Amino acid sequence: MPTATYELISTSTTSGTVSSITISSIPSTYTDLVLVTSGTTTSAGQLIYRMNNDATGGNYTTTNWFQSNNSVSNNTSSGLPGAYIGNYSVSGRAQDTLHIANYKNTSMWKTFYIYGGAGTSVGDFITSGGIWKSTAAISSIVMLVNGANFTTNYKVSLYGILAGS
Amino acid sequence: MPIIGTIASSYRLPVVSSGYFALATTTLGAAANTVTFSSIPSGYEALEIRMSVRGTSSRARVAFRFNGDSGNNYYQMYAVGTGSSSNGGADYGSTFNELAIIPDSSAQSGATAIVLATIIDYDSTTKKKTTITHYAAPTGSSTMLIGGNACMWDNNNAITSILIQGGFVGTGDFEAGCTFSLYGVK
Repeated sequence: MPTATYELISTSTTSGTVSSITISSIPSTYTDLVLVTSGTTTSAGQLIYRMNNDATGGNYTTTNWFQSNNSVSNNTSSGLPGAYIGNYSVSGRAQDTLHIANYKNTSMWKTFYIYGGAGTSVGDFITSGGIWKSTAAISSIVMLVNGANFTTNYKVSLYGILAGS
Repeated sequence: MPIIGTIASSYRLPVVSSGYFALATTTLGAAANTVTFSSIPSGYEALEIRMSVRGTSSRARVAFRFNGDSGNNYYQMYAVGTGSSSNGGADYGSTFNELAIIPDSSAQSGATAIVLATIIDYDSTTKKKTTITHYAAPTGSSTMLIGGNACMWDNNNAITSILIQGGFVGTGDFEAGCTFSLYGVK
């Protein structure tokens, strides 16, 4: 019998300007996680994800491939205190979907893939991926903006996907 | 007593059966060259295959073959970014749909690629079958590939089986521990 999955674990919306958003107490029930976010930031800046709030420089490698300001670019960052994604505008509404495979596996590093963007004159379309160099199960995710804050009504929804039998 | 006014038509919300269903998962206990999902049921709007994989050989890839068709009936366009450059191309008349580049034996140990593949209208008998993939593949401790492929199987038959091949055009294995999950989306 197929198992219905892709379950909403948590959802929240900011009620004011905040410097960070934390999704905590992630259950170990699922196989993959999907984090869907949308909102605006107080100014342009890269979105930052930290797994288990790990801010250790060197624990992340992230490659961004994006279109911004009428040009296609790509970059790789390694050694930063988080996964640095994209470059978002203040006036647009950015939407991102982050996939994390095998988030609770304790023998492998965690690979993630994200796509999204902000369709404004100073926004971008991005597709990015990276690794968190840790074998720890992911139990929380912290979101920040490099040099900026999240504004009111920034929505964050976490989903869990079960594997089949 | 007269009835005054009008009675609004009753309105019932439509009953919608929808969702995302886990159909099967394979986790390799030992290295293997292929993984097969067979007896795939019809009735979903789309299939999604989620994979966490790495290969044992050089030039490791993920490739699909449908319904056992080994003919030159597969086409793909691909694009990949390395963080310092972009590359792309196309293959026409191949014997597999190549979906993704994945870490191989020379890549950082302990790291796998995440590969997401979607096939809409997989059970149609009037349409060619298109597979779209997105993936992120660590190639070293400080290097990644980001890519996407658009693939076509030049056949109108409903998809009832998917053979997932490791290596490059049939060579190489998937490592032990790789996971492959099939989902039906309504």
